Amino acid sequence: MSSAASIQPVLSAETLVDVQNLSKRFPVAWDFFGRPSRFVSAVDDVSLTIRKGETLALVGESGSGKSTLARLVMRLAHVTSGSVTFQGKDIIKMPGKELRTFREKAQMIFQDPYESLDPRFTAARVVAEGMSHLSLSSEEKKSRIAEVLNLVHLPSDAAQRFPHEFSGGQRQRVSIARALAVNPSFIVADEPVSALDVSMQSQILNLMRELQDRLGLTYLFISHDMSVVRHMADRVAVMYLGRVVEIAPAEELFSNPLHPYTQALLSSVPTLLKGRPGQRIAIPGEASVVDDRPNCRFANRCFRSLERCRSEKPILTGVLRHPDHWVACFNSAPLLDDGAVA
Amino acid sequence: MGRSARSPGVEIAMASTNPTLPISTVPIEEIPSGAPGRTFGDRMAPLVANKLALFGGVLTLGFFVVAVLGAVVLLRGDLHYLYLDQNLRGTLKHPGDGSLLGTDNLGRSMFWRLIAGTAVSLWAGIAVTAISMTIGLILGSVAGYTRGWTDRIISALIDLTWGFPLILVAVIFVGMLEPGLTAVIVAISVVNWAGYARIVRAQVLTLKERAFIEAARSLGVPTWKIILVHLVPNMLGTMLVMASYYIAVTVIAEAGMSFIGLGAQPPTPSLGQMVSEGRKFLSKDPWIVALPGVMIALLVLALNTLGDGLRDIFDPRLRRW
Amino acid sequence: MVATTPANNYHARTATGESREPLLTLDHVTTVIHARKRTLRAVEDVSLSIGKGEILGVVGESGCGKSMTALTIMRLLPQSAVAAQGSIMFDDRDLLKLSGNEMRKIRGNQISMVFQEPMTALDPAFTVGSQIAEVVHAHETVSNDEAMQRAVRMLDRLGIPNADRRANDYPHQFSGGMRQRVMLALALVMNPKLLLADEPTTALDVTIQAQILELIAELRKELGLSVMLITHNLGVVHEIADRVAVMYAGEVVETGTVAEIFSNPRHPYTQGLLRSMPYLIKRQPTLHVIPGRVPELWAMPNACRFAARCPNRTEQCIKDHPALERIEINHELRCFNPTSFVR
Repeated sequence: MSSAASIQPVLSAETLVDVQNLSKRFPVAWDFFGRPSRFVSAVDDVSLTIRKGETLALVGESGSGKSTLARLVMRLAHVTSGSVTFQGKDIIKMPGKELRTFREKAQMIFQDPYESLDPRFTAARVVAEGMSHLSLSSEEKKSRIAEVLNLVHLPSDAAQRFPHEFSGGQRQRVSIARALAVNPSFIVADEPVSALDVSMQSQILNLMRELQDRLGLTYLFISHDMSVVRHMADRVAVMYLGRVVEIAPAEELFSNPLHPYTQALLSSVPTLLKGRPGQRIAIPGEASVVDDRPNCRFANRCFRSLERCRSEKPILTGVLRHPDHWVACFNSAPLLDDGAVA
Repeated sequence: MGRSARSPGVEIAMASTNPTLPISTVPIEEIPSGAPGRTFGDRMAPLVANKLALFGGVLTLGFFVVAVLGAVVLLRGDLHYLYLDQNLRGTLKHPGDGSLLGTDNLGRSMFWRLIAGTAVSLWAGIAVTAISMTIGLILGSVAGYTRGWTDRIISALIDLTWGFPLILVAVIFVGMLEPGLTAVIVAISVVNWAGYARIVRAQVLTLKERAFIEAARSLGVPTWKIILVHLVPNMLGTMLVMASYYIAVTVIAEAGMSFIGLGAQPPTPSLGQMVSEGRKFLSKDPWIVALPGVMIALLVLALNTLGDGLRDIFDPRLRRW
Repeated sequence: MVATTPANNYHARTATGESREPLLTLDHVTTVIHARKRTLRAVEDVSLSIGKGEILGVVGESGCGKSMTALTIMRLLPQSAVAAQGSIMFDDRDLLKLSGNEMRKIRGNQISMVFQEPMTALDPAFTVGSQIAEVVHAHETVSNDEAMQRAVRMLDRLGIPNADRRANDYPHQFSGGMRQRVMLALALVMNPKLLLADEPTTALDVTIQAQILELIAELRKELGLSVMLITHNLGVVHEIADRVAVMYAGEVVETGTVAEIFSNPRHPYTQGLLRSMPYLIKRQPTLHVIPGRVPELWAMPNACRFAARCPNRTEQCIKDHPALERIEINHELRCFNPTSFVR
């Protein structure tokens, strides 16, 4: 499939979330009258689909727009243009009542376990917060709270404790419990383990996998940590400065990255292997974008850039060898066998 | 997993009885009990350690006792004689000369007038602060959280009110209502709320970026509930500190207004009023002015140092979370 | 226009992995914190050494005392904490016995420190150049011009483009990676012998982290700088460190060369750490988990501190406290019952 369309075809799996040409623009310069004259898109014309039951990882560094994209999908921020549909329904223009149903089905886990819980709320209250409009009796609520705390493997006396009595990993479990309390089918996890120690990371990741198996959850997993992504993801979308530059199933992406940024990213990760198979790709400078002109935003740091890259915007295009691997690059090429660049 | 008519608990239970799932490898973690939490003693420690604040706290407590006593005297008709009784043969007595703190030009007991007057000042201060804080809290939170046009309007209102001279407003209100304590309380409240609203708005602007607020939004919690349940409790520390300072400010404002005759009207005594009346006798019987003046100063000192102490208690750097 | 760095460039290890001439030696250092009603032993009996031109990685999770150790070396402990025992020998002087003034002459001059969060470590009200120049002024009497020139040279050396112009910018005008370079410039302008780096790349993107680590390795080669690299990321340690010390609950539990520790870790905690890290190459069904939690500072057991979580626990481990012993020429271990590592 080498169509130039920017829409990925829906394969046989059922699509849960469909993002089409989503953009979020911010003004960065104003004219004399105070009207915005120049914009930058933090999320620029992003299209992707999330399939039921899968874990799609969104990978990128600071400024990539992955957190912004997550919030747009959750309707926690205003969309400038484009659409997001959840189970076939457009969520951007959803009226109040339907929105509430959406908020039960789609939940979010946040990065900072020390900040995502109100320090004045007991764990029980935290978990119950989303349930208040569900008109459950107080026994039903209590049993639900107990059930959900059990699902995340917290002891029964946890319900009456305050956040400061928990460790970081336990707080994150409370966060997960809060998300599960309303019985969601889709969870957006924004860097859920980045703020935790290594030994706690394993616990939470194992827990998330277990919950996915037990409850049939679909995850949008945002992370900058490639080794965590490697462990959790079915498919991976790599973002750079607001655009998706490559998207493929996890194994395919890690074994055959094609976009120069992906190659550099994977190469930068400190690894525990004794002798590195290849050479480290170092990209100079830092990521920054000034405006929304049509170009490749990676061109100024890219080791394979062409003239074309500065004046045209690359579109996600299917890769010939693989049915589900897409790259947005005019000069993508696989790494050589020793990991060096072509 | 669609939403079903059954209670959600039932669905979860069914999902987890799948026999093919592996036994969980995630351990149940004990939460350490006996972790020394923050006892009352821990929280009060900064207040006690700061000697000046402790002094302020004790002094304020003393003033509260006086204010309660004074309130009783003011409210019970049969006790009014204590500060109303004139004794025209025992006027201008020095303190210690027969009576505890002397008498004024009408022979009234300075002691009881001071108690009643302090009560008036302190309760007026509390009333004004309560009213201003409520208005300021509501308007400030709404402005800070919702932003947009609501914020612009409220902020403009704050700026407008902020600039109004207190005396002018007081005169206007006194003109509209009768001169007296009610007019003063209304007048000061009308101007004072702006200060709170500003501070509350600033606090809300930072608080609302915190992750637990975002989490509440993602759970579908309505705006009013977020403000009430999340924002306000997390601002209590600031509010308490501001309250103590603002009561002090109000005491001075009320005294000032009573001084120029706009405040509590005779026969209700007021510290400012007493200072004003006593001016004539300053050269020979200065205690008539000095005593109420000292009371005002001490009261303000007590409230300010208490405010400093409260600020130390609520300082987030000293907290563990 | 391909910029690649052969990975081996980072490793300037000596062929036999011997430690070099020691520059800094901690000997049985203990730091205690005096809290209300309690004395907390944050750093317990720590003995370490860093050789000249060596990069020592100090690894451990949060709360293990690694940052406190660095602060103890710099004598920058908070008021409630004090170094109660031991000695820190640097250039034949015991740092713990120096006066405040003598210590001040060492800080920024012979021993420098960089921290994790560059934004909070830089003063937002002053230009970057003036802050670096301030360090120069603190240790030498030079003209303002001379100090500024050295600041600009340092910024340039650390890879800030247009250093002469950028020296007049304020910290908020720099991105995260650039700020970290500014921090390094502040730390290195006086050409110190030792750099203490407390999680210098934790807050940075991984591609920027690669740049900073490469920079540190270069500086080590060029200036003969010794580095104490504090991190919780074993991968970073593997990349640029020569030797590594693993800390747990305030104690050093294992030290050795990187090669030795990564191929043959003996302490169960080290083994657990290595197993917990998701590998980049192989996907696993579940990740290894070290059960339990680090004991709280006020509830430290008198026996082995890791015993409660240890798969190799024996009777002795819950009764006695193991000492740090040299088990091989490049390998120290604090454990009664080590086992070999099977991945």
